[in-house]
Amino acid sequence: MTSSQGRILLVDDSADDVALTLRALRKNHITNAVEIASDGEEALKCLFPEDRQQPLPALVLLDLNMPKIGGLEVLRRIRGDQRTRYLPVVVLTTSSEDQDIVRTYDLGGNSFVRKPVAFDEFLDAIRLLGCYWLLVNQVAQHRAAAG
Amino acid sequence: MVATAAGALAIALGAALLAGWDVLLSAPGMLSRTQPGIAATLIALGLGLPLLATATTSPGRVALTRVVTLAGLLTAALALTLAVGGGHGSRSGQIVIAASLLLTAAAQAAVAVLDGQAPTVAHSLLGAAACLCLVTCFGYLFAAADGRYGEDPVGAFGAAALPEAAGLGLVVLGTLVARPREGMLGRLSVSGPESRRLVRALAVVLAGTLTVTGAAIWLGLDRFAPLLTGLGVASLIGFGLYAAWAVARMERARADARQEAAASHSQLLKLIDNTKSNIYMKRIDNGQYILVNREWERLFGVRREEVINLTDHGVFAPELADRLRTNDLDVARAGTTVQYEETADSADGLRTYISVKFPVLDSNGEPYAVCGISTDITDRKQAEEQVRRLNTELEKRVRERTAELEASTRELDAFAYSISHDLRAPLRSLHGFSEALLEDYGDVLDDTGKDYLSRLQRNVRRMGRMIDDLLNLSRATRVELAREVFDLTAMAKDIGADLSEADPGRSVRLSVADDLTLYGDPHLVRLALQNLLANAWKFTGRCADPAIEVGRCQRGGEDLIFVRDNGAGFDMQYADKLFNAFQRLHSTADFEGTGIGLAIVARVVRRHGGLIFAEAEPGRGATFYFNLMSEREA
Repeated sequence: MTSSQGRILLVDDSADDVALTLRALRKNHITNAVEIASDGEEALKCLFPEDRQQPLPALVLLDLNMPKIGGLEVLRRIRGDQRTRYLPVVVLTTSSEDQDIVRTYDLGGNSFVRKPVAFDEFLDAIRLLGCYWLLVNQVAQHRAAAG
Repeated sequence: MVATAAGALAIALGAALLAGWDVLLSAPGMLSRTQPGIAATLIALGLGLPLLATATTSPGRVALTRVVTLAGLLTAALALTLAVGGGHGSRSGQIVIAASLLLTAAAQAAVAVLDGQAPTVAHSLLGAAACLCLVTCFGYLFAAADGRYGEDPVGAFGAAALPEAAGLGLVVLGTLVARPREGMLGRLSVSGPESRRLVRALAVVLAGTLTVTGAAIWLGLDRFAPLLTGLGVASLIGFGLYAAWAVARMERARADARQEAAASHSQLLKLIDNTKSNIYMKRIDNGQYILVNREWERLFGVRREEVINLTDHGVFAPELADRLRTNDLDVARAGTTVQYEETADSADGLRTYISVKFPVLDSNGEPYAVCGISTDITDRKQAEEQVRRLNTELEKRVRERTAELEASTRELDAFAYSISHDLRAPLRSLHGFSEALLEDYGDVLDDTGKDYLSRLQRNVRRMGRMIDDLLNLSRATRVELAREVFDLTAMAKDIGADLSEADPGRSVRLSVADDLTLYGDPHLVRLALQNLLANAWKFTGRCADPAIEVGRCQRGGEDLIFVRDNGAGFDMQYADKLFNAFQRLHSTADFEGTGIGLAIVARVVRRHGGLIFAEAEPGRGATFYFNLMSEREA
C-alpha cells in the first residue's frame, strides 16, 4: 500500500499517541510523508502558512482534546476557509461522546474514528483509513486551490 | 267563703221551714206550707256546701263529703217523690223545687265523687237547676201579681213559696261557687279589656231579662207565663254565659298566642345572639338598622338600642358605608340571596367577612329590609395566603434543586467524558507499546517475558472494556428517552448475529419469538438486550448444547419479555446482588466480565418504568424477565 501522493497531517498533543500512530502507519506500509502538529495552533499554522503556495496535505488526522485550540475549533476554521473547504479531515480521538460525534459532522468532518485500546484493532483502523482516504477516495479540487 | 255562708243560710232556712216557721207567716196567705222533704233537702245540701268548698286530699274528709252529698241526693229524691205524690201547698211549684233540688244534689254528688275530674257535668246539672229555680221565682212573681197564692192547681205553673225558692237559689249559688276554678266557671273567668266588654254584654242581657219580665207581668199572661218567661230569661242568661265563655276562650287563645310569640321571639334572639357570625337587618328605604346581634354589638362597639336609628354611615367610615349600602341595594334589586366578601375595621382589627345577604319581605311580598349574616374568614384567607406562599417557596426550591441536579448531571457528564478520554489514552499506550515490545524485541525475551507481556495486554483490554461499560451505564442514566414502538424480534436476531460473528468458534441455538414489539427508547433497549444476550452467550460457553430463547409471557398480571439460557445459571441466594454494578457471581477465571452489564440492563429497564427480575439454578441456566411501561401508561 504505497502512495507518494500528498502528506498526512497528524494533529495530536500526546507524544505516545503520535508514536503509536506512526508505528501503525509504518506497520501498514503507508509511506506518505507525515507532518506532525502537537496542538491546534500548530495545526492551523501548518494549514494556513505565510507561504500560500505550499500544497495542502492529502489527509488530516485530527485529535479533539488538545490544549490551546481544540480539534473542533480547528475543524471549524478548516471548513471556514475556501482553500481547505473540501480537505479530507478524519477525527481520530479517544472520545466517543455523542455530542462530539454530532459536532464533528455538523462542522463538516469527513469521518469520526474512535481510537481502540487494543493495538491490533488500532492497526486495523489505520489500515482502513489509509486505504480509503489515500487510495479509494476522490478529493474535490477546489477552485481556490486551482487558481 | 260564699259557699259556706250560703250553706249556713240554707241550713237555717231549712230548719225554720221544718219547724213550721212558715205557718206563722202564712196567715195573710202570702206563703204556702212547706213540704218537710224540701226543708230536709235544703239542710242536707247546706251541709254539703262547706265540705265541697274546702279542697282536701285527706281520705276521711273525701269520704265524709261523698256520704253527705249522697245523703242530700237521697233526700232530694224523697222530696220529689212526695211532691209528685201530692200533699201540701202548691203542687206544681213543689215539683219544680224538688226537681231543682235533685239536680243540685246530683251536681254536688258529681263534684264530690268525681272530685272535679268532670266539672262540666256538675255545672250542666246546676245550669238546669238554675233554670228551674228561675221558673219558680217567676211563678211566684206571677202568682203574687194575680193575688193567687196557694191556689193550686189553678195557680200559675211552677209558682212556689218564697222561702223555698230562696233556699233553692242559695244552694245552687253555693254549689256553683264551691269550686270556682273548675269547669265552666273557671273558663268564664277573664281578665283584661275583654272582661269589660263581657260586663257590658251581661248588662245588656240583664236589661233584656228585666224588660221581658216586666212585659210578661204587665200583659198578665196565663198560667204557663211563668214557665215561658223563666225559660226565656234562662235562655238569655245562657246566651250571655256562652258569650262570656266564647270571649274568655278567645282571650285565652290570644294570650297564649302572645306568649308563644314572645317565647319564639326570645328563642330567635338567643339563637342570633349566640352565634359567632354577626347578624344585622337594615331597612331598604333609608338604610336604618332594625336589628343587630350581640356579636355585631361587640365588633362595632355600638349597642342595639343606639343602632336602631343609625345607618351604616353612622357606624362605619364613609367609604365602607357607601360600599355596604350599594351591596344592600343590590340585594334588594336582585330579590335573592347574594354573597359578598366585605372587609371592615372591627374590635378584632381589620377583618374579612363573607356576607350572605338576603331581602326580607313584608306581607305584600315586597322587600322592605335586607338581612345579612357575616362570617369572619380572615383566618381562612390567611391560611390560603400561607398555602400560596408556601407553594411559591416550594416551587422556588424545586427550581433550585432542579438547577442543582442539572449542574450535578453536567458534572457527571464532564466526569464521564474525562474517564473516556483520560483513562483510555494511557491504556492505549500500554497496549500499543507492549505490542511493540513483543514485535520488535520478541527475540530478546524468553517465553516467560512474553507471557508477562500478554497478561499485561489482557488486563489492559479488560480495563478498556470496563471503562466502556461504565460509560454505557452513565449514558443509560443521562440520555433523554426517545420512546417509540419498535420490533424487538428483529433487534434480538440482529444482536444474535453480531454475537456469533464475533465468536465464530461457537454454535449457539438462538430462538426468538415472532412479532415481539416494545414501546421504549430503541437505543437504550438495544444496549440492555445486548447485555442480556451477551451474558447468555457467555454463560452457555461450557454447555454441550447451548440454547438461548427470547419470548413473551404472562406472570402475576404482568406482560413480560424473557431471555432464557441453559448455561451456568447462579444461586438465587445472591439474586439481589445481580443488578448492582461490579457485583459478580462468577470468578473471572470461569467467565470474563466487568460486573456492569446487568447494572446497565436494570438501569435501562427502570428508566422505562419497567420491572426486571431473574430466576436461575446453578448448572441449569437462568431466565431474565423484564417489561417496560406500556405506551398507555407512559
